[in-house]
Amino acid sequence: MIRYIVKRMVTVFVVLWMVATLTYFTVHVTPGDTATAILYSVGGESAVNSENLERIQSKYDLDRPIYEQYFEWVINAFKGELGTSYKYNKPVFYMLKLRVPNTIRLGLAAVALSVVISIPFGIASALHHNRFLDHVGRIFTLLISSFPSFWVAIVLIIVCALKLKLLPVGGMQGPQSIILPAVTLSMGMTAATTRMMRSSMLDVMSQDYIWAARAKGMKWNKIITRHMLKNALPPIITVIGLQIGHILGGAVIIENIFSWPGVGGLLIDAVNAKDTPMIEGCVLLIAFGYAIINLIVDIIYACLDPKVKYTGEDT
Amino acid sequence: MKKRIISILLAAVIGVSMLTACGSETKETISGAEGSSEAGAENSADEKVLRIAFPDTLTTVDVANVTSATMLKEVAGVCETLVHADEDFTLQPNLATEWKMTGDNTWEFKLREDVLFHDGTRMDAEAVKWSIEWELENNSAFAGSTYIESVEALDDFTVQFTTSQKTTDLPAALSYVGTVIVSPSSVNSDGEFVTAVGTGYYKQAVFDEMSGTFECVVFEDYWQPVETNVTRRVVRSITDASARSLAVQNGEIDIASDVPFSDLETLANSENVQVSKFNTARTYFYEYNLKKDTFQDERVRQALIYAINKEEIVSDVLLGVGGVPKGMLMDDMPWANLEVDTYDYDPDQALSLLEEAGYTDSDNDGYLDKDGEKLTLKLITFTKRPGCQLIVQATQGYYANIGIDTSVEVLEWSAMNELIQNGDFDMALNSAASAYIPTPAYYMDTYYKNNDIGYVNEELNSLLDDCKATTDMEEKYEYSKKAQALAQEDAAIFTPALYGAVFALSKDVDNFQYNAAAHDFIVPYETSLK
Repeated sequence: MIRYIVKRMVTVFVVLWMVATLTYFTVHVTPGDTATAILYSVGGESAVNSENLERIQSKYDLDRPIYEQYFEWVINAFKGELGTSYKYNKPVFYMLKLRVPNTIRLGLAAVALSVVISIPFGIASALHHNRFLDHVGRIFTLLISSFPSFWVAIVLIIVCALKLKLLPVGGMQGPQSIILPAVTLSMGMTAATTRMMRSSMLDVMSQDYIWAARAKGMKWNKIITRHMLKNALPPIITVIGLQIGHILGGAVIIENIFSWPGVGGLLIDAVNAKDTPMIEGCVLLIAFGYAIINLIVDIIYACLDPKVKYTGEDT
Repeated sequence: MKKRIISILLAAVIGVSMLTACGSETKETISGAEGSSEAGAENSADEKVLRIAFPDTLTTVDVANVTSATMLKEVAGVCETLVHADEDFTLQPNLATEWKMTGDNTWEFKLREDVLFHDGTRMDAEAVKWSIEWELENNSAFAGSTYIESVEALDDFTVQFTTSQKTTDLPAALSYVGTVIVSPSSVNSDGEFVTAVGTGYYKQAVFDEMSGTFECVVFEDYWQPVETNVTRRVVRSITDASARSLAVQNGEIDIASDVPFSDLETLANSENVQVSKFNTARTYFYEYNLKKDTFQDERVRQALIYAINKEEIVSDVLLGVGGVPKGMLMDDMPWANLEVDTYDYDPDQALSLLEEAGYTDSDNDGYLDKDGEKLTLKLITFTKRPGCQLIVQATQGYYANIGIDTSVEVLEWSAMNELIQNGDFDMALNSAASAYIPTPAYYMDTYYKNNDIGYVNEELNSLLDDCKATTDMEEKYEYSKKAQALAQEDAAIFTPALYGAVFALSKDVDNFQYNAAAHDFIVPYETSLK
């Protein structure tokens, strides 16, 4: 297991390097000059003149060849220095440290909400296969996976905040502020996890050992808890892990709509300003989070399912 | 073993979530802070809290950051500049009482002697010197916008500015938000700007760096009387326009700027909200690509202006948020020339001019052509100002009515700028703050004299140079007006609409006045709550 973890960590770093490289060069080939974008973002179009552009070029060494800038960034990144944000003129690491806890908080709230809803719902749906509850569940998951998240966000704000006055529109104004963004963010994951849970339960329910347990006279509740869940849950762990990665990416839009001060807002501002150090920092953070979560999921999976052994292959 | 691993992993996850749940709030306070009072407009019988939505991300209170300086000066009312521009764009003494040009590149400013910073120290020449030098060093756009090279303290209350080139417009430049005056105690022993210790009517109470929320309270020793009942201002970063609109409707915010045009009707019908529209000094303007043969002909340029219904654009496209230009600038500007030809909507005249220039529908396909080539235009604009996309789409429609095929591209501003520099466009719709530096020469100097579209008019350039060289305001106005007349004749750049600002205010807000000379929007000290 330790060897497996070490191997996976090496893979994680390789993936991070590839993501960082792809992002770095993609930012530079997008239309628009970096120095112009920086000046515009900090001072508006009136600040963009040849003198100020020269100053910005010089300050951030933007007039050097792109490969030189890239290699310097990579070397510094290995030392743990992510550079200074062009737009905010503060260390990238410092800005991320301020905002990451909020994004994690939101992400975990969304995951928790999703798990609490989707697992029981999926189980119930499977146990009432092709009956009313199952149909309701399937329509519900279809609906919530069909609506775009930004639309759901606006509808929730209008209903829960404006009409019912139950919750704030956005920002971080207290514990209740997390509810609407977490609900919005959790919807896609809830739909996918509910369907997977249902599917996994149906698969397990059709196994011979379940029939055998029933034939032996075991109580249905005990069959569900002792046999079905134990075998139906492992694949769900993997799905949840994949969905968490999507949540980290999806949080960018949701944070912007709800003015939630997370990494998403930083990333959007950074993209508009072609703030390469900040873009790299945010992207690396999201990629790292995704990779680590999937590693954790794989370890938990191996622990739950004795048939899975990470010696390089599943057995 | 496996259960132990699961337990450890779950404990790690729970630990992370608990740590993040505890939060990492970074609140910076100064002594005498009275704590936060975000919820509700009134926490006690004596406290009146004005809550303002700021449309940009706040990450610092460092005045070298223009976003921060704009918020501190114009929204929070914590910092001030040496010079102030009135609603009619005339310069008024503020922290400086008088000024004079003492050499080609030097100016002297006398300071007010009764001004205290929020830390209780007196504002003097050394503090002004420190402040300007801090901004010069840390704001990359400062020197290029103001031409300030250095500043010296001649005595306790006199400063001398040295500029990098001769400029008669330094007083106007010193009304720019980037030149606010703060105390050296704003910086800690590590050289980090931590608190905005200004001279304004409000002083910083709390800045939550994580959420971008800024709170300020009344400074009892402010240097002039102010009539307001607001005791605290809370400024919240809300970057999404729809979120700002919803926050006002929900009663969480008292003042929100730049709400979506599509929300205006809903806001106006809301019982808790009042909508106010103002014309601003910002303009929308079209630039022709004069490097292309199509636009070498003045008749084509004029025809394309005649084809656009500016009144309809303002009333129906921008929903009344903006003004119909009577010249190229806002009417209230004392140097605005309102007697120029604005080529008012006349599609017949447009077609007539185009026909004179050789463009007719020779093949009866519904589109104009010349020498067998269809007249096709590429219109570009940028995303940040929502009105730009609406105007460009409307323009597309007007041109289709007279048989011109157009394509539209909407890009980020820097990407649009790149296309302009590369000549990869026909018409570009831009927007500019014509009173960024409120002088008669600034706007034309920036966008007409220095341009990437190939426009050159030596007579116009000479008039602008004369305008910048003289210190007599009436002469400045005259030179500027003549330059505007020439520019309108050339029709290389034209204004389809004046930029409007729309504010959604809660019904509790009283005495809110708009100052078109503001960089973005000013919440005057006198703004009160009912």
